[in-house]
Amino acid sequence: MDIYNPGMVSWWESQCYYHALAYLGREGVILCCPAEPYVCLGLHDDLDQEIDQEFCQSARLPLFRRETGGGVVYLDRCQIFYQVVLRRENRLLPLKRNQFFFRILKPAIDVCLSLGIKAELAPPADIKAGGRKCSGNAAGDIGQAVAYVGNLMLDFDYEAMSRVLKVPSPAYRRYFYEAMQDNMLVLSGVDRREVESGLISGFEKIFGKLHERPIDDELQEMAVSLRERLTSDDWLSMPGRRLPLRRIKITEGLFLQEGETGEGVKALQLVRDGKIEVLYAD
Amino acid sequence: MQIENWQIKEELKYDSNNFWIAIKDQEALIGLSDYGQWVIGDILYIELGQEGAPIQKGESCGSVESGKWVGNLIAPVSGHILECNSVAVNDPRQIQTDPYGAGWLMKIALESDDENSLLLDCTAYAEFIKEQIKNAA
Repeated sequence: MDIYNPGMVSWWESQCYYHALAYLGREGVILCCPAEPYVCLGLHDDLDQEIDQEFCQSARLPLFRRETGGGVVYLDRCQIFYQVVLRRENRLLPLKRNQFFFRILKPAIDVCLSLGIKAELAPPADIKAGGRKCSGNAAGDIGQAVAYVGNLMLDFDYEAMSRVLKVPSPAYRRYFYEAMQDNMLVLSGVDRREVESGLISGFEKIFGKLHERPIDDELQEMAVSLRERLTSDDWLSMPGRRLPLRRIKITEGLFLQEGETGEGVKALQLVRDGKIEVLYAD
Repeated sequence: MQIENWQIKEELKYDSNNFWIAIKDQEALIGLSDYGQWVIGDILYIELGQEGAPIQKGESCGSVESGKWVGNLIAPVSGHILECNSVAVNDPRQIQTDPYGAGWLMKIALESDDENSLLLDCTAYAEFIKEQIKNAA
């Protein structure tokens, strides 16, 4: 298995390299980090419903729609990305794709544990410590391959994330910001190289010795051609999942959502594992 | 017919992407098999092609999201889409609770007469599932 560890790359390269590997039918592990902040939609996210496009434009935040699951994320250089691409016939892949998160997230969990953070998998694909999310993950069948992608957060810009999403009111935005702060965890003060070497040794336990390779011409050319499609207006505007009431996932099992209290009155709720944890007054 | 926990309807045809296909005259009704919906897991969202759009056997005719994974739905036949099941799209649980009934996905106007002969019968599909389970073990 090859490993590509280009370090800091441009915002679009941080998404296009794994798509390129998948479309080329090449297996590999990628570790990277985006030099510039951007906003990344899941394959089925609805741009108009999810994103405050005016804000993104004014903040010069580019948009990208990936071919994996999950929701909108704000990404920047404070996050370390790990991306694994396997051909569909790879015997390591279980029949049910979501089950592979148990295995593929072990390196990231072990890195957290080595730092004294009691992290564990929150199925299907979050890593949480003390109930707080420190890593988001997603997967998708791309071409004849399957990609598993995720990040470890060394820091997180809660303010930017709360501005990027379209919300129905300033109060909603404030509660969204607070809910993220209360339920997310960053690995602050951690040495980036320590995280990378921990991830590499963890992936070597799964795949055997990893062979470091540079980004080659074939990969770069494919990435450049995919950038055009995956950032095009048509692709970004593709209709997606729409909900009648605004509902934002904070972490696995935790949602900030509008609820109807009768006669068209909407109330804002923080719902954990299907139960209302907080009913906000305004 | 029952293979482990999964039901296989004997009167239907199947393909290796876990679609069932019911062909009558020049039309096909298609959906995910019981085994197919199990492999995907809890379906959160399903996107199907537009009515009237052409579909090509072996190419994507929609996509599905389960947990944090998304995958393509690969068309089992060629033709164009006559109808999509809006009930299943709006409530994907139908695909899981009643994959051969209320959870059907699309009605297709077939491009050619020989689609039927290229599909798996229930016995061949049962063997295909057994092989998949064996390889995954």
